[in-house]
Amino acid sequence: MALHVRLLGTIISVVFLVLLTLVFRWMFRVPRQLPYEVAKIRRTVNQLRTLVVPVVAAMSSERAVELACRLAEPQQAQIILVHVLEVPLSLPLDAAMPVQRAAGDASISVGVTICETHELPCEGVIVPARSAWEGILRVARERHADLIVLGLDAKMRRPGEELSRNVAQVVRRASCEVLVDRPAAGTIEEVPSAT
Amino acid sequence: MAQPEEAGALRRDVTVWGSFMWGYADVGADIYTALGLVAGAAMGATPVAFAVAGIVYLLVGLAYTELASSYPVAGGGQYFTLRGLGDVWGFVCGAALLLDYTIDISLFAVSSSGYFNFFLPALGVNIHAFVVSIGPFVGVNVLWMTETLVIIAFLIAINYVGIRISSRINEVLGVVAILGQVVIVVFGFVFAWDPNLMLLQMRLQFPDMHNFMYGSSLAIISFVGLESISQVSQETRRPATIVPRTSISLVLNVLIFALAFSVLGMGLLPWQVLGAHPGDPIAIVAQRIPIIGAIAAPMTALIGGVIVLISSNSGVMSASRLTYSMSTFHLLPEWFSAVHPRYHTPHRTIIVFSGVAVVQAILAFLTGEGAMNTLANMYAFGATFGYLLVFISLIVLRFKDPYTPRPYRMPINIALKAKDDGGPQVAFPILAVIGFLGVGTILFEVILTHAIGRIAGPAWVIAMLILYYIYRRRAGLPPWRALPRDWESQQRKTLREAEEYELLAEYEAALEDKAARGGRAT
Repeated sequence: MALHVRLLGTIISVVFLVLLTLVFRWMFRVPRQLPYEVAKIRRTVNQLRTLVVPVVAAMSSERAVELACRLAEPQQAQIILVHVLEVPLSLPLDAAMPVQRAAGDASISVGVTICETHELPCEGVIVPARSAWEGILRVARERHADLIVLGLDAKMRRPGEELSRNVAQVVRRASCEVLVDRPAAGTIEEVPSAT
Repeated sequence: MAQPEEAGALRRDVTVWGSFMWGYADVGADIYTALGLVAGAAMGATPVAFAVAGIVYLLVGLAYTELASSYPVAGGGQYFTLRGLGDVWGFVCGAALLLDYTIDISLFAVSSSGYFNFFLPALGVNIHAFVVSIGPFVGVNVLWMTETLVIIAFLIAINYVGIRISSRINEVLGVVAILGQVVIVVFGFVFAWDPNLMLLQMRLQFPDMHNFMYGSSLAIISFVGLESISQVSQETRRPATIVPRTSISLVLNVLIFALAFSVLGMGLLPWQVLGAHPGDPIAIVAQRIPIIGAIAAPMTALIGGVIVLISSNSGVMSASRLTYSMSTFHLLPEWFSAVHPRYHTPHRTIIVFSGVAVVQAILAFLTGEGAMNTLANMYAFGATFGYLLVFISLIVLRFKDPYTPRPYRMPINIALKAKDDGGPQVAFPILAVIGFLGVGTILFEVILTHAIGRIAGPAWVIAMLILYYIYRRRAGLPPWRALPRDWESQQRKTLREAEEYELLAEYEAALEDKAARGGRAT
């Protein structure tokens, strides 16, 4: 008996076999099991839903936004970008400070762009306060933040101290988790800030 | 609060392949009987009837995947309905599904021995010589009946001594069955399939609406059985991780095979030929294939016999686990919830409900083919009615229990606004509504076109409901009200026992959030 190979039938057979193979391959690729302790620790990080990141015109601050985004990505957490207008005691708190506000807008704009590359929900806030740490803590409290991510700018540190004054106050007074990123020497100093 | 019995626990012995095969064992056999029946009704539109039923089945599959991975306990649809709609509806769903499982055991045991009888002439045995009359019953084939009862007894024995043995048998025989089916499909398409014949039949011999509805409602039979994966999830290792994978794989596999066989069949033979062989349509298809055609009949008989045997085995497992679950939740007497101290199996439910199947099989033989048709009709009713309640439960549970982690969620949801107290956002499942409408349509078709099923199916459920009422009254439990239950503790225990630690941590965090807001137990 002469055998005739059917072209269309052969194509359907190949598609049939490929589909079956793909389905079985996917089925057997079961993710590894985690011990309870590891699962619990992972969960504490996955629970971070709102992250506050102070932004200024410095590479350390932009890097802090990038770090926050990486932490927020798996659970699609919200990023709140805060720029604090430090109002001198000689001026009222609601004083217009157009130059500083424009600088804040620019810093937030860079932060928003970083968040957008990660497709994360984000919001920029400019708050007037007598000191930066006060403004940061106020926003964190009002937004029920789970984490504040701070970039430590080497230039802001006082001689003999590990942390700048603002960072030290935030670490001391914040009711939520605080993460301080102190880049290693030479990591980012050479790279100019986007703002 | 009413709690499930703590006297024993089912052992987690089922692997990824085992979980898949429990489902495949149940569903895989269905195409062997459904193809001929559907072709007889849906005529040239047979592949379309399978596709329509397949879409509904896909939605049922997605719903089961979400629920079985979220609530990995024995009981399947009955448990989901109990959680979502309370005791009475949980029982009704359980009764509908139990109807299917007992039919599963009897129907496929009869069918399996029928396939093996193919080899009797070669051994010099004439099966027709054993047809006798017993009192008012004429044409009873005692040899075939004895074979069937021996098969059921064998399945009871292997299920009694442990799911591991039963699961291994499924796993091994399943590989043989799948390979056999793949060979038939590939050889058929490459060497014999004629697309013109299929297109000609679709164009010129499309059925009228009544026949198409009947055909598509029969086609759903070829997809019944996904429940088995849920039933065995309490004995599956890491069920919340594995069950979504095995369920989705099963859905896709069965769809691929059902569509492949129906398209192949219509491209090889006129639908009338398939419709005239409801008992062995795949064998008729295989006979037309060159090369393997000569050995196709015995090979298909062997594969058919094997696959319907494991389907019957799946029925024994599912019926026993379903009733075990029902008794642990006081829907059936607690006597059924005992677990064998040595084998860790629900031995009482295995014996009693496989016994029901034995009675069904004997009745089938005593009353001839009419009884078999009755069983097939009731099969479609039980499945569609149970699925309908499962879709409603899925929607209700999204609102009632938003805290339980869902490793898999049905796609396409509308995010509804969270409550003012900051509770979790509810995702309203659009596909579940579409699935509900689809299954509802098929149930309507069953009621409209299955003369026996529309009476016998509801009669079974009502009879079971009367037994439920009597049991609850005697036990001093409210018949129509749900018993208070601590679902949260049970869910924690289930996840811990299943070693699903990530989900346990997620669930505990959600409950802490809820407690912080002053939430009450669901």
